[in-house]
Amino acid sequence: MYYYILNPASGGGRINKIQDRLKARLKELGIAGEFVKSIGEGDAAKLAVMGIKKGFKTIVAVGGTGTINEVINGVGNSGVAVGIIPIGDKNELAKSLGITDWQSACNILAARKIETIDLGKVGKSYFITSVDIGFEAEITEQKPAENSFVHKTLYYKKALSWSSKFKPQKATINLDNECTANTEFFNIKITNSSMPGRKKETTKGMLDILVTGKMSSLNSLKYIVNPDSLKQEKKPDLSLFRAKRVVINTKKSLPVAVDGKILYKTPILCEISDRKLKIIVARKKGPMRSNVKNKS
Amino acid sequence: MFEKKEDFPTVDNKSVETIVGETVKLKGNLKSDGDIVINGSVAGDVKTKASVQIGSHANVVASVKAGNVQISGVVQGNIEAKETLQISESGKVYGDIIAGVLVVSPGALFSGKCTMTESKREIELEPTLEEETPQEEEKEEKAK
Repeated sequence: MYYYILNPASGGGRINKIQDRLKARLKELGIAGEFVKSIGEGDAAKLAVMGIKKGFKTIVAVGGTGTINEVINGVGNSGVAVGIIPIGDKNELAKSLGITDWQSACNILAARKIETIDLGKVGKSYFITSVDIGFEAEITEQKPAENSFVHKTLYYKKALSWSSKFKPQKATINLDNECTANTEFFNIKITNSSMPGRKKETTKGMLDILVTGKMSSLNSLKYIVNPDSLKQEKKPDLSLFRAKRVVINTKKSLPVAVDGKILYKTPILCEISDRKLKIIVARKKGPMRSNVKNKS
Repeated sequence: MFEKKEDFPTVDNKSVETIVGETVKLKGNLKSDGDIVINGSVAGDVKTKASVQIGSHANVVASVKAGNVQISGVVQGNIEAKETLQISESGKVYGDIIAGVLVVSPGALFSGKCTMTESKREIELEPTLEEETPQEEEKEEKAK
């Protein structure tokens, strides 16, 4: 039996329009279950705990990355499987698992291919994809939930304005207590899953730390829209590290986005935790990396 | 000695695990299982079984130990390349080197000791006639 946790605010309230169709489809596929709605921040995590206490073996987050992150933190080490039905277009986590929209998500849930992944930890929170510090964290909550031309245009207009005001910041990055890097940066991204352009699978139990150096406002906007659009010579200075444990200090305290939601400010300690998560993914493997164990 | 760059093992984009960007100043031990690319400043130790590429703007004050090493910047420290060590025209090395194969381009600078490691070869000996000793010759004559 499945326990569905819905966030009514996700996707600009889009769930309210598709709810009936969603439930009908899930029933058709034989995976109907109990539906509950979160009422505010942190509520999805509490509902996940409630679902586990009720004996449900699969908890499904219906919403954006914030909802998914709360559910992941709520299930803890319970061993239940977590499923995702993305609502809205800014769900990078779902895309990285091969889940593109709510319709395909239903089929993926029904197929029930489960993989076990290592969770990352930052502060008291666990994360599944990435932690951002810098420009991407500043704009992460401003990304449009709707993928319409109007919403995107307004967003890029804002992003151009932000990028001209955003000054490169200084950071000290300590890697596994072995070495320390001092640098100016535009963005620091710590990932626990696939990164664009990287083909080699991550060594199990490691974090990839991508540091993007400073660049012009126009190039930073191009980078936001499509990182691959920058010509090689205009691409920002990039640094890439791999570690199990990373401590980041910045000269000025900066917001830290965890799986797309700002939860902390620097300095932070980020590491691969001993907590594992069973997650339902698409059968056709997406860019999931080698810290994922295949289980049929 | 002066070979084309493409003839020798190079850093493969797919296997690059660590990149030290131009604006980065790194201190400490830099270890990796994959290729390392250094375009910034590094002070400490650099180790990998794979390849190390030191870019033309890099400044490395460290010992470097790797399978293959390509140098286009400045290195102050000892270098050990199990296979190939290549110093390009803009490369400057101040320190001792140990390498299986050494490639130095015109314009490169190297100041230090150099030790080449030679892998053992099996040498085939042609069969030769054994020379008979006087006692053996006498025995043969008696037998006749």
